[in-house]
Amino acid sequence: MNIVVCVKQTVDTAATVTVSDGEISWGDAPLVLNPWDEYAVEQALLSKEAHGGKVTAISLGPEGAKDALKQALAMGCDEAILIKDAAFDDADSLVVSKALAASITKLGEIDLAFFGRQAVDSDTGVTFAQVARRLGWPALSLASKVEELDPGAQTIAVERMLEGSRQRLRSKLPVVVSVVKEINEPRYPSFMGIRKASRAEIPEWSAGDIGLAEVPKAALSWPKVFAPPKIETECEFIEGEAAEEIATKLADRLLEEKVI
Amino acid sequence: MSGVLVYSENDSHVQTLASWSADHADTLGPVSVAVLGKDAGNRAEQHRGSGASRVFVNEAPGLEGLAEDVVSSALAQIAKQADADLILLSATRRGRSLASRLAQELDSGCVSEAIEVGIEDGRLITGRYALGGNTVSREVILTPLKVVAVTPGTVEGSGSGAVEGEIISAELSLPEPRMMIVERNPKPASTVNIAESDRLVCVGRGLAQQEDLKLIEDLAAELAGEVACTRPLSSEYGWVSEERMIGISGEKCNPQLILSLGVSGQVQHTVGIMGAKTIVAVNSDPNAPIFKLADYGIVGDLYEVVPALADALKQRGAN
Ligand SMILES: Cc1cc2nc3c(=O)[nH]c(=O)nc-3n(C[C@H](O)[C@H](O)[C@H](O)COP(=O)(O)OP(=O)(O)OC[C@H]3O[C@@H](n4cnc5c(N)ncnc54)[C@H](O)[C@@H]3O)c2cc1C
Ligand SMILES: Cc1cc2nc3c(=O)[nH]c(=O)nc-3n(C[C@H](O)[C@H](O)[C@H](O)COP(=O)(O)OP(=O)(O)OC[C@H]3O[C@@H](n4cnc5c(N)ncnc54)[C@H](O)[C@@H]3O)c2cc1C
Repeated sequence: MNIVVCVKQTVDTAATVTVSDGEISWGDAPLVLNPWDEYAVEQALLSKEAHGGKVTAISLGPEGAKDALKQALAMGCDEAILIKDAAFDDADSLVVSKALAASITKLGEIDLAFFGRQAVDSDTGVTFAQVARRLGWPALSLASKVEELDPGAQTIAVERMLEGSRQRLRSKLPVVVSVVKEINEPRYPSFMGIRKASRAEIPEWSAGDIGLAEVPKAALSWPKVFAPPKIETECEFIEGEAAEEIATKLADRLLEEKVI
Repeated sequence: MSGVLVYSENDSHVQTLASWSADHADTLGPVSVAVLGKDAGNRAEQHRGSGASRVFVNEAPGLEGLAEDVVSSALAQIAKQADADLILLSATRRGRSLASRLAQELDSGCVSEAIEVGIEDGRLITGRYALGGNTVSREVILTPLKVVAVTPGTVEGSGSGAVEGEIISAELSLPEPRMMIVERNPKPASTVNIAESDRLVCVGRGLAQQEDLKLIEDLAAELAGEVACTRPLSSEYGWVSEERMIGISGEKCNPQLILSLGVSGQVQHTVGIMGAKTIVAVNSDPNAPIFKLADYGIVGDLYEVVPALADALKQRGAN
């Protein structure tokens, strides 16, 4: 099987993020492979291990995004490609998805493209569906289990959880699949993997290389970023000698407020 | 703007979005609603009075499972027929992936999971959480066509814009569905939609073991509410099903009352309870951040407070 996994480099979720005057800062915390994308890489590797083939990791980003690709290589991806061009500097998801779709087309003969559920910096979770639409492929979103993958018959079935229901999605390949954390347990890179990745030369593709002679303008801007509004509440602490007394006081307050 | 098209697989979300849009028809233009799939004709009736001047209906068999690729194609065509330049969807899980696909189809800007929708100087402004709830980013869509998926509970309509909407059977040329959706008969226990629930009892890692969930369930039953949880309890321990998880990667809830038990109150979790009317926190650590947003706080052991509270409620015949 010919498999692609799309990965983004993001801020580490352990970093303390602050906003002041519209500038986002995370101190000197390192950038990492988007945590949700580790599950996508793992699923790509599991699919390859079950059915043979090759896994290529793609990222669109600056030079530094090669570190995220190296982590994907260290986990076991066969190849990695960085899509890098000054024209992508202010890209939104519409532009990024066009570039990712063009790269997948350039790779050719791809059966499956895995994505994480969302990037932890923008938290939009829109790119996979946009790439799918661009390619004319179905998008199996928020997969929590791959139930069937049959390269011979070119079919796949996944399970996804929605509010209050569970669905089975079945489709012909090629497809885009976005995965949630319940799907697997990402492996740690092996020592050999890390050594191999550290020596890997990662090819760079420019907008021209993927056939986007003219990079479209972003369809949206995000001129303002600020710290979330704080709810101004004065917490009324309920105290008492024993749990019963506290519980009784609370129940009375809630009745007064008519929320029960 | 030339008009709004509202769509969701959830009929009550459609009504809210249509009614809100009708309140802003001066800026947004006339409101249309799309009702697709099984029984659409009947379901359309309830939307006639919700503020929509036109209700577009299509019951084509290809729309039965509401596969995103087919629905997206249908909405692109209906938006054109309705001359709508803003498409408002509800940011359910399905709505989010639909929004992005539709935006690509229309080559338009897309905002998923808006937690703010407003109009400033005749322009639509949206806000969303980014960076795990640590920031809010405010977006302006620059393309003429705009797709916005609105987090349930974000807007309310006055209902005063109600008109007797005309029902139109939409002529559509739909693609063959490439994916097949089979709805699983979920277990009754996992059919909850905590985002719609008025009373929630949310438990966090203060709970020591899975067996103790019984305490929490008993309290929820006393309140006629639902059990909800933080991420570790569903994703790490698997004690509670994922659809009961609140937060940036789970549900955003707007209950009248939420009891938050043994929950520290990290931002990734609390963005999901910002819409709550009354928040009660029980935590053994007086410095837990959850007390900063709670209306009522109890510093104590949930194992003592929870059974006592269940008793107190029982005596009062609450619910
Ligand atoms: C604070 C902030 C707010 C933003 N708001 C918006 C917005 O509202 N709308 C918008 O269109 N853009 C927005 N962006 C820009 C957006 O982050 C970039 O355009 C981005 O590359 C698109 O991906 P995403 O972050 O939306 O990814 P998501 O859609 O959240 O990511 C889903 C998956 O797509 C894949 N993926 C995403 N980006 C890449 C990449 N660069 N290379 C390879 N694979 C990738 C990964 O598998 C990822 O798990 C915002 C950025 C920031 C920092
Ligand atoms: C990208 C990302 C996305 C995330 N998304 C989400 C999300 O959507 N939802 C979510 O919930 N989390 C999410 N998280 C995790 C989040 O950051 C927190 O780790 C999580 O919410 C903490 O859960 P908790 O409050 O149950 O546990 P803890 O932080 O461990 O808090 C447990 C609390 O219980 C108290 N306690 C202990 N024993 C008792 C007792 N006997 N009685 C009373 N109190 C007691 C403790 O004092 C403590 O305050 C996300 C994290 C990341 C990085």
